[in-house]
Amino acid sequence: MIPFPGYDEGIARAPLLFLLGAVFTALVLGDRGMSPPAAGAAASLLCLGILLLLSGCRPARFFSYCIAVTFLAFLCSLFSVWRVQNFSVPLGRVLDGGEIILERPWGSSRVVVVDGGSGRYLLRLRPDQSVMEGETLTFAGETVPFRIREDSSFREDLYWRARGVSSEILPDELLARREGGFGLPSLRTALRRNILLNLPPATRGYLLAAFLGVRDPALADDHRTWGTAHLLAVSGFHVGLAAAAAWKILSLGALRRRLSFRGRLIAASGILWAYALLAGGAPSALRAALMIQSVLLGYALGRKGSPLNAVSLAGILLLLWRPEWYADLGWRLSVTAALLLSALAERGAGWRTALAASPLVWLATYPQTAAAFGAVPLSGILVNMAALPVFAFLYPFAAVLSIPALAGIPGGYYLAGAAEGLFLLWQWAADTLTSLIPWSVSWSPAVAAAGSAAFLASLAFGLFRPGLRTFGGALLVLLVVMILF
Amino acid sequence: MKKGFFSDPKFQGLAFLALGLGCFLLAGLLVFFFSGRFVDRPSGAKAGPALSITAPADKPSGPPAAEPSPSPETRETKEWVLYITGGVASPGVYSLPTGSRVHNLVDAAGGLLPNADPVKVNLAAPLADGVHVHVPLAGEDGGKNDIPVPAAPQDSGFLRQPAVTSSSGTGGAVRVNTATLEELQRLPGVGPAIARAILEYRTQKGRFSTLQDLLKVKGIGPKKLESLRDHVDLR
Repeated sequence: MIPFPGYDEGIARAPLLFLLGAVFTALVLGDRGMSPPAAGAAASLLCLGILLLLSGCRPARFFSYCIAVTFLAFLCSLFSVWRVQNFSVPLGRVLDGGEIILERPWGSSRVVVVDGGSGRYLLRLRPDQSVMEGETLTFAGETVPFRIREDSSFREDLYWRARGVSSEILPDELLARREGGFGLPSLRTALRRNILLNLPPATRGYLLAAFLGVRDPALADDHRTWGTAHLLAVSGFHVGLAAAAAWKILSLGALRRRLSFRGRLIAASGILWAYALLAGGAPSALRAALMIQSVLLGYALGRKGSPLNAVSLAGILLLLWRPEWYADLGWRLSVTAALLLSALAERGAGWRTALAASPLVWLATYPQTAAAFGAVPLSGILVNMAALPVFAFLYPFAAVLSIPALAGIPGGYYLAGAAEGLFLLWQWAADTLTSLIPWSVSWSPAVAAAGSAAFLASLAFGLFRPGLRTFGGALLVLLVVMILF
Repeated sequence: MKKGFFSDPKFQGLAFLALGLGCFLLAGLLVFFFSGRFVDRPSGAKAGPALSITAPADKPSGPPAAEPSPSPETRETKEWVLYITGGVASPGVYSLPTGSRVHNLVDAAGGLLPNADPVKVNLAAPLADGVHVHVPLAGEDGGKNDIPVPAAPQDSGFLRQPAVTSSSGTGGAVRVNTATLEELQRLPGVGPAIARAILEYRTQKGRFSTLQDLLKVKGIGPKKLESLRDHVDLR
C-alpha cells in the first residue's frame, strides 16, 4: 500500500476493511443475481463512495490511494463472485476413497466428508451405517449436484462448498472400510472418546466444545438461554486463550533461554494452528487464527498493526480462499463481533470500552441472530460481561486439572471434580443473572436497523475522527445499505 | 482558478462529498438494473452452522458469534429426535426415522464402546420421539456417566422418555398448570431454567389457558412450542 506519513485514520489505518466490505457486498449482490462484473463494479463504487464521504483528512495522494484500493476491491470482488457462480459439479460415476474428515448427523440421515484422491466428497449414509472421523472409506457411486432448497434460505450447496466439498456422491457401494492411520481426524476421535469417558459431565461438555468444537446438547440448551452460545463454539475467544497460553508457556524461564524471540513466535504460531485445526477448523476459529497470526507476524517484523486491519485481513483471506464462507452465519457473526471489538479497541481499551462491548456486540449481531433464531435473549448482555472473564480463567484451569484424568492417572477424576464444581457454580450464577433479565427480543426491523447503525457507527468512529462528517456519513451509509439490501 | 478551487479544503470536501454521493447513486443504478439478470436465485441466503454434532429442533437463540443454527435440513415430519448418552462412541442428539429401535440409535452414535454393558441394554427395544437412552458402562451404578435426567418410566432402567409421564397428566402429557419443577423437566427441550420460568410465570400470571400462553414464558419460542404441543395438558 502507498504509505501516508503522519496520517493515521480511515483508509490508511485499515485499508483491508474497505476491501473486505467490498468483496462481501459483491458476493451478496452476486447472490441476488448480478453478474461478477456488475456486482464487482457496484461493490467497489460503494467502497469508493464511503471513502470519499467519510474521509475528512485528505493528503496529497489521497484520491490516487482511494482509486487503487477501489480497483483492488473490484478485482477481488470479480474473482470471488466469479468463483461462486462458476462452480460446477462434474456428473458421472466415481470410484474413490480416503479418510473421513467429518461425520455428523444431518436431518434424518448422517453425512460424512471423505478426503478422496480426486477431491472431497459428501456422502449421505443411513443412520445404521456408523463410521467415524479418521477411518478410511472407499466408495463407488454417482455424483449429484448439491441440494438447493427453494423453500428455505439455507444454502446447503454453499455450506458444503465452504468446507471444500466438491460434490455429493450417492453411494451404491461402500467397498471397504478400515481404521485410518494417525492423523488429525483420528486424533479428534481419540480425544473425544477419552474426554467422554474420563471427565465429569459439565467439564466433559465444556472441554469437548473448547478442544473439538463438539457441542453437548444439554449445555448448548443452557447457553442459548443465557445468550452465551458462542462460548461453546470455537471462536476468537478460544483461539486467543490458546495463543496466550502458548506464549506464556514459551516465555517460561528454560524455554525463553533456549528459544529466540522469533523462534518462540514460530512455535506459538504452530500451536495456534494446531489448536484451530484440532478444534474442527470452524470459520470463527480460522478467522481468529489468521488474525492472531498476522499480529504475531507483525511483531516478528517489528511492525505494530491495527486490530481492524488484522481482522479484515483474516476475513478477506478466508473469502479469497473459499468465497462461499460469506454465506456462513458463523463466519458472519464472528467477523461482525471481531470487527466491532477491534473498532472499539482502536479508540483505546478502558473500562468504558469494556462496559460498552457486550451491549454493542449484542446489538450489532442482533439482525443476524434474530433472523436466524427468531429471538435473542436480553440476558446475554449481562451474562456475557461476566462470562468472558470467568471462562478466560475456567477453560485453562479445567484443561490443566483434567490432564491427569485424561492421562489415566489414578485419582485424576477427583481432580477434574474441582473444575466440575466451578462449572456448576458458573451455571448457578448464569441462571441467577438470567432470571434478572428474563426477556427475549424477537425479530424487529427497528431493532435490526439500530443494530446495523451501532455497527456502522462503531466502525466509523473507530477509524475516522469523531465529527459531523463521520456521523452523517455513517448515517448515509446505513441508509444506502437499507435501500440496497 | 481551478487549482485554487480544489486546493481549498472546504470546496475539496464538498467535491468529495458530491463524488461520494455520485458513487452511491451509480452503485444503486447498477444494483437496480442488474439484479436478477445473471443468476436467478433468491436473495438473503445464508449457510448454516460450522461443525457441531447436533441440530436441535428448538433454538431460542444466542447472541454474539453463536455458532448458528438454522436446522441444516428441513426436518421431515416422519422422524424422531433422540438423545443417547453413556457407553457409545458419539453420545448426542440424533434424528432417526420413525419406528427405529435402540440398536439403530446405538449404531447412529457410532456403536457401543468396548466397556459398555450390552446386557443392561435391550437393543431390540422400540423407541419414541424425544426418548433419552442411556447406555451404562460395565460396573456403572449411577456414577460419573450419569446425566441428570428424570427417573426412567420404563422398566429397563436405561430408556428415558422425558415427556411421557404417567403421574402428571393423562395420555402421557404433562399438566403444565399443576406440574412440579421436576415434572416440567420431563417435557422435551425443557431444562431447569425453562421449567423454573414456567413456574414463575404460573405464580405471577396464573394458569395457562391456551397453548399460545406458553410463548410468553422466557425461553419458549414458536419452534419449542411446536415440539411441546403433543406433550402438554392444559387442564
